[in-house]
Amino acid sequence: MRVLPDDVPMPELAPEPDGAISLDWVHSRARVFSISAGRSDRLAYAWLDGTDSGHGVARFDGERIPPLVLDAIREIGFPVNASIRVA
Amino acid sequence: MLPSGLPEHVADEEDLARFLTSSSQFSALGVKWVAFLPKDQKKSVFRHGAEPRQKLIEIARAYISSTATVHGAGIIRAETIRSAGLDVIAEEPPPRHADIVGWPVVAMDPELQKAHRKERALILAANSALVRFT
Repeated sequence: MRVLPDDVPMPELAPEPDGAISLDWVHSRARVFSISAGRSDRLAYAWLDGTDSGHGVARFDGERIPPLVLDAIREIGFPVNASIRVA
Repeated sequence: MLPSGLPEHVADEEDLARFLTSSSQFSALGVKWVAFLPKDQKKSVFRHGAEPRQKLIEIARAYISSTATVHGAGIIRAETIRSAGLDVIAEEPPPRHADIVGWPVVAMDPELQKAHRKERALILAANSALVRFT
């Protein structure tokens, strides 16, 4: 959470069955981007955009969210009424 | 025929209920995908639709752990599950119980397996209907 750029809205958080934490950006029920944060340095993510969907894994060094993931969040997951964080 | 009186094959047009035991499994928008993500190889559902509501609540009370609060259910059609590349099979007892199976397995890469399953769960959640009990 602390490494998210300031222009990225705060995600919804939810526990997953395996103990990981899910970070979800929900634009609507059919437009969601979700990352799983667990013990691994690799982030599992998946997205839904209408009838399109996809998934992948990105390495996370603890300091910088992979640009590909950030782009996807910005493209798919921005909530309409998102609150932008302030420093 | 199963002990419940239901046929062994879960028909495409059957509605299935995934009971929601945590407030983190739903929001004002509907059922969240985590409600459908399995911990192992299957996800438990019951062969019942949104109505009659009282019967649905009775099933939840009878067969979900007494220590869990059931907030509601996500109702999803068997056909939707199969369209997402998964399957649903009857698994009694308890009566009306079934499992969502066929979740992707990537033995050498648990994160990739997780990502693949998340995608499937996102599809299920987006195509389910939320029924609140409280």
